[in-house]
Amino acid sequence: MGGSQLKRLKATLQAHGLTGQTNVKKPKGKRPSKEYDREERAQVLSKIREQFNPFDIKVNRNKVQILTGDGSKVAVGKPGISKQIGEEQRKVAYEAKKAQRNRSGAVIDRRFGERNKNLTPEEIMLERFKREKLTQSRKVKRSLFNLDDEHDEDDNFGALTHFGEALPDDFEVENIDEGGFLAAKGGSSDNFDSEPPRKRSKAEVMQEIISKSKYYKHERQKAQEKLTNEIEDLDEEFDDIMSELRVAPKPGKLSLNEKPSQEIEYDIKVKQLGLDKRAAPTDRTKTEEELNGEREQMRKKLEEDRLHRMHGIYETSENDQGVEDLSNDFWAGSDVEEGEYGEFVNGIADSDDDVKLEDDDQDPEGSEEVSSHKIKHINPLPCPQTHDQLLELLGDNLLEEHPRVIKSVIRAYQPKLAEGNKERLGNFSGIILRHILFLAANDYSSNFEVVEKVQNSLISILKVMSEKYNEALSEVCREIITEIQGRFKTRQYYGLSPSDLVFFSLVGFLFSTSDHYHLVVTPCNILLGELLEQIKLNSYEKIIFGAIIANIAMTYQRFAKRYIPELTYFLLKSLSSLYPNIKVDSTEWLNFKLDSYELGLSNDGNLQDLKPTLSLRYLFITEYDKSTLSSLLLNILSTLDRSISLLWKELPAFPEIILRFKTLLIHYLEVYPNTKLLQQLLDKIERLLKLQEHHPLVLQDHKPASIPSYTPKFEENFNPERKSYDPDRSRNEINKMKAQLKKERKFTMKEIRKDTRFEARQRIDEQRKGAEEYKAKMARIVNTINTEEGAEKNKYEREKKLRSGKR
Amino acid sequence: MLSVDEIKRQCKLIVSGNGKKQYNLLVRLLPVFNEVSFTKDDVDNEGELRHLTISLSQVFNKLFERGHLQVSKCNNEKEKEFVEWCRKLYGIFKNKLLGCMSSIPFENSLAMDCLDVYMKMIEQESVHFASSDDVPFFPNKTLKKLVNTLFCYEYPGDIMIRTGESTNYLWLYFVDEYYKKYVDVQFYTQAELVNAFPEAPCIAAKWLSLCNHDNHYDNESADLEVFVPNPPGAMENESKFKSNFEYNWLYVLNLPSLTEAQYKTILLILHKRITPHFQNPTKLMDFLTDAYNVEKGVTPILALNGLFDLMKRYNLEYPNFYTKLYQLLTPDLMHVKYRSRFFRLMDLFLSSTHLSANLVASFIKKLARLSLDAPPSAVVSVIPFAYNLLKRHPSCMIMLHDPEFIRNPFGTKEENDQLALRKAQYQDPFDNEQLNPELTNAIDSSLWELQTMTAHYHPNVATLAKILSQPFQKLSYNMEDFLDWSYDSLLAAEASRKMKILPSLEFEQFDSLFGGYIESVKW
Repeated sequence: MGGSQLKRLKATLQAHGLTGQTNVKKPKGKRPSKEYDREERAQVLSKIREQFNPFDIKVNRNKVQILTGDGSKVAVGKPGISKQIGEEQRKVAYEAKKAQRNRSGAVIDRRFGERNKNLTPEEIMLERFKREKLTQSRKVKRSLFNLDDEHDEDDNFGALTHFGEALPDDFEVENIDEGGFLAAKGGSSDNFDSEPPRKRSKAEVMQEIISKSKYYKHERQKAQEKLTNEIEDLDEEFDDIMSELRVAPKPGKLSLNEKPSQEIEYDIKVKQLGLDKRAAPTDRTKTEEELNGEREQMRKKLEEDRLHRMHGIYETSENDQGVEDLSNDFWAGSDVEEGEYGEFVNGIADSDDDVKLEDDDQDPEGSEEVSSHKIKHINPLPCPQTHDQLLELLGDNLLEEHPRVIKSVIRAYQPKLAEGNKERLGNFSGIILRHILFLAANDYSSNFEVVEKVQNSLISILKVMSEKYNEALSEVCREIITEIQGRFKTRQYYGLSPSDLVFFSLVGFLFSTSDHYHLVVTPCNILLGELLEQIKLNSYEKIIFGAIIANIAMTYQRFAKRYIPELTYFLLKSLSSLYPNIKVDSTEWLNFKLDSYELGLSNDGNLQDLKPTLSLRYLFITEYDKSTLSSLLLNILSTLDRSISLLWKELPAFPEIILRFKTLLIHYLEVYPNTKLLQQLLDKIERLLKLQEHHPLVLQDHKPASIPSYTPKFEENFNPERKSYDPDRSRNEINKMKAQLKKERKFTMKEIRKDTRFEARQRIDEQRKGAEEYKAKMARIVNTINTEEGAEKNKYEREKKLRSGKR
Repeated sequence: MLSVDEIKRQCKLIVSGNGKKQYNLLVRLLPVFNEVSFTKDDVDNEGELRHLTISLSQVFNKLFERGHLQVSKCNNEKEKEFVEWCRKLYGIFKNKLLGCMSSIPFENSLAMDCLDVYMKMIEQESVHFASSDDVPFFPNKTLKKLVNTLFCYEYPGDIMIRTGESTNYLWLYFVDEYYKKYVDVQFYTQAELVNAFPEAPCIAAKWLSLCNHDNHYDNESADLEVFVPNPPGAMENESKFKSNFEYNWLYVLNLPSLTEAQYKTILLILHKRITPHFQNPTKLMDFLTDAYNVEKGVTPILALNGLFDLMKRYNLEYPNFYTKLYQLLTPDLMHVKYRSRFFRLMDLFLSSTHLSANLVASFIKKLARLSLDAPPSAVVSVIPFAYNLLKRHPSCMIMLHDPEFIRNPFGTKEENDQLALRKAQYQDPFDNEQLNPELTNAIDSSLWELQTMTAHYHPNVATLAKILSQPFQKLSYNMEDFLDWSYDSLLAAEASRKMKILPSLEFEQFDSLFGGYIESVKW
């Protein structure tokens, strides 16, 4: 479009139909409303104005347009207009501020009845509550400007006040009366039935309901108060009344006495019948097969548990304690209950906690004795809490009597009999263990048959006790282990005694030795290993000791089949030491140092007819005859035999382990060519070696580990305008917030600066205005003075002229 | 025997009297020492003798003070004669003291008192016997006499059998109270011993207890004092001390009477307490090489430490070192006390990555073989050791994992047959008796022994052994964590455990303990 600005404007206006002929006839009926017309015109005009004033609009050049390929979004600002708007707003604010300058405001207290002395606080509160409710209900329902509302006058803001007091309203008097005299109105309202009832407004209804509920509540409170007062009074007097009542004769007795004796008997019988135990079906006697089946199942479960423990899987849940099979309250201290009924010793049934000794019946004398004690409620037998006390108790009793005495102690202290018995017996089980060891520690060669019998019965008692008092017994075992270790550490072999062997055997006898980890057995294993490795084999006595330990250690592993290197060491060493005519230099095939080369057996010994049994008694003597030594050798060989077939044959290193034994056995066979055992052993080894698969290990046959790959992540909907793709959500939020804060801060600073600038400008304007006014005023005054002066002067001149003219 | 009062009176006369006439009393007092006699474990008249010793020491102190023992202060012939006489008396006194010390064949405090008095005399001498006042002087001849006497003094049972050191109370008293504390005593003792060791059977034992400490003359941290008030400057000569010390040590090391226990003790302290004080430690080379070449026993193991020290610092070359080291892996190794010491050194020697795979494999295989009859503490150090070696020498991994023997579940029948054939034909080529680690063929063998340890009776050892079948992801195990275990520490760890789960019981019933449960054993 060419031409000047004005020409273009004219053309545009014409194009929009804003100039030119305005009174063009338009088709009737299709005329749009005038209002709309005007608005549209204004819009069009403003558009045209914008178009013709290019400086009003500021367009940001889009620098990233090329990248995005999207030119539609361009920031457009109208600095002029926004500036003007800001200016206007500031002006308003400034004006308001200026108007408020040098003025002090005051808050008008419009609260109802605040300073009215005639109203009681309750009344004021009631009234306030009412009003508040009203305003709230109104706020919800009506708009502020609805003029149709008839109760506008109730509005607090619209209420007339005088000095902060609500003016008494003629229309309201009735309402107030209603609240106060509701009871009276209730009666009178019926009287107005004839009259057409005025339709009450919602507010009135509400008010009425509220005041009614208030009234009833008040009434209820009053009644309640009265009641509590009465109860309190009664409470206070209760003691007096009761004392009087007690003093008063009982009339009830008389009436009871009046009953005939028959009735009384009848009553008693009825009561007794009620107390009688109902007949209940007894458990069916199980058949032999069922019992066997149960036993089998139980055994299976125990085996399974043992396997689990062997592989180090422990189940700690309450009902899966495996072998112990304890009732839940076993450790929970159910003694309290038992103590309560402790008096009824005779009548009490067998409980789960009872220690049931196998041969209870075999000992009628003892049990009678004990039962008679029970009736007398006295325990003449003290429960020994230390081993010394037990020895004291046993006193002069013969050795044979020991199990009987111990059994009677256990019976006298059954847990059901008295509180604390459980702890006592737990302790006592440890003492039985110590007693067994004590008996084994002394030389009993003279009467070993008796000792054997006594020990066996004591051990069976201990086995039974161990099922109940496992924890106490384990603690004692652990103590003994530490003791043995200490003795061995200070005095080597000479600190040990045969009783230690009995202890180790007992541990295996009582505890499950196949567990992966066991609190008692694992330390025992270590100690056994230590003894096997560190006892210097320089006397037959020590070799016998070691041979028995080897037996025990092997028996420990009969189920788990774990490998004991020390056992291998001991067997090698002892067999080498016992090799007939062993010498320091004649042992190229031996290649390790022995503790003694003096112990070789004579090669004429007969190994054929002997049993490989060793006896603990041998440890009390130091001189051994040939047959004993031969049986020692046989014992070690049988241990080797059993180790091979029990423990070693499945180990991957079986050929390596057996290698040295093989050479040893071949040498032995040279000396004892007629011994079957040796030949059998060698044959067995050959057979097992053939069976064994011995090929290189493939231990590292793992699934190949994948190489971690870090490919860049593909961002869908990538937007270069987005500031960050931070995956951390909270950090992202924080950054956003920070940016916002910065922006706001900048903006506020800008605003404040603008404000101050504006104010300064305004002030200068005012000053200038004032100065101008002053100047104008002064000019006016000067002017008037001048005119007056001029007039006077003229007057004077004229006068002068006149006077001079007259002259 | 004179009574205490008598001794007191006579001594007082000598000390208080101005004249020299009273000195004649000394002639009567001194021979009293000859009367030392003892019944079993007790010296007769011990109190009197002690009193006499102390009193006489005071008397001679007085004499020193008066200058009656100094020839240099004499003016004329007569005085000189008198001083000579006094000195003769003094010499007799010293001899009597030494005689008293060496004549008691059991532990007795009188001898210790004598020793104290004698040392006091040395102090006095250093002041008064100098050529003139304030000239530094140390009475080394007097000290030498004492040391000689002490070296020769012995009584039955004064040598500790285990270490071969002397436990002679008097000797220990001298060492603890004088030798270890005073720098000049050390210097002159060593100087006087050079080429002058007395002929006595227990020299080595005494020498060991003299030198087995950390408070030597030339130790930086040693807290030493000077015994005499004015010692000669020659004493400052450190290299002199070192060469004396070295000379004496070499003399002792060459003694034919050294017992095995003493050998052990020497080797144990060698690298810490001997070589640092030597002028020329390479002189120990022969000794160490000989010890290392001993065929059996722990001696070579102990010598290894000193040898390593020499190799590291003094560039000693030892031919076929690794062969010899391999030969040290004997069945006894796992059962000796010095196992952890040996393992530390072996770890050091085998830490090079430039060793041949054959050699490393031989070491691993041999250790594994030895662990078959080893205590758990040894097994516990063998397993991580083997792990570290395998990790360092991946070519040895074939001992744990031979890919040729993996069964392929998807393989053809032919392949499976081949594998079976390979398995059937396999023979362990490891030669356990071979002494040269390069020729054992261990690399073609496999570590069945270590796999066996997964069935070890100790749960922790068994778990540790499983690391060999797990992926080798750990760079290396810190050997220090595994070396110092023992039965005691294992048991202590067990004893400290709290009872959380109730120990499980044996559910099987046996007829009797012995015969039933434990077979082949009777009561």
